[in-house]
Amino acid sequence: MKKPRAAHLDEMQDLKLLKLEEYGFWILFWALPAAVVIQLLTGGTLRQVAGEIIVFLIGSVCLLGPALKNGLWTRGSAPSRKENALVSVLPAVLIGALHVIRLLKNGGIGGAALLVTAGVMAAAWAGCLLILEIFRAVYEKRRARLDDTDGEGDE
Amino acid sequence: MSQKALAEAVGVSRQTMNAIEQGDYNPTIRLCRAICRVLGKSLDDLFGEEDTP
Repeated sequence: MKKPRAAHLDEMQDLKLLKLEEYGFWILFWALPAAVVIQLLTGGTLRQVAGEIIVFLIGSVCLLGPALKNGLWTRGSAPSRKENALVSVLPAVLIGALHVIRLLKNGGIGGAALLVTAGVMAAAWAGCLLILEIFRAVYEKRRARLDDTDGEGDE
Repeated sequence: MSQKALAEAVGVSRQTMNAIEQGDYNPTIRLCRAICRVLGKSLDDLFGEEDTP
């Protein structure tokens, strides 16, 4: 009996579909924080974007958990403190920019406000770096454990 | 044996078989072995490196 094609993909079709799903996932993944930022810039409150933030966090956990479990880091860079410190600048700048824009909307920006913004940016950078360093420690521990196994039962 | 018959015999689409023939897709070792079994050839016969002069 002939198998229905739609319900049974061969390996190449399966890989292609996975690739398409990957594109879709990454578009959605980055569109969510973009939507949060846009809403916050256009007068939205954190309460109003809570749904997007929760979905983004769930997606992040679903991606990060299995990746760390399988001893996988990003494709683009090797895990290192220098790299993590560099990557942490991005959210710090983003949060700082958001802070400044909100200050400007609420009646201007003074020396003290700029100092607060710098503090917020520094805290965001340190927080991101700390989180990434924890992930790196978990990754390296897991990587060492996976490399030490003799392969039985592991793929 | 036609491409269509081979594709059906190993359980893949003709599109996939065509991509393998064109060198656009690297099949898994499992599929390579299935193709070899159907054609009665060894892995080396079908997928081995050709000697370059």
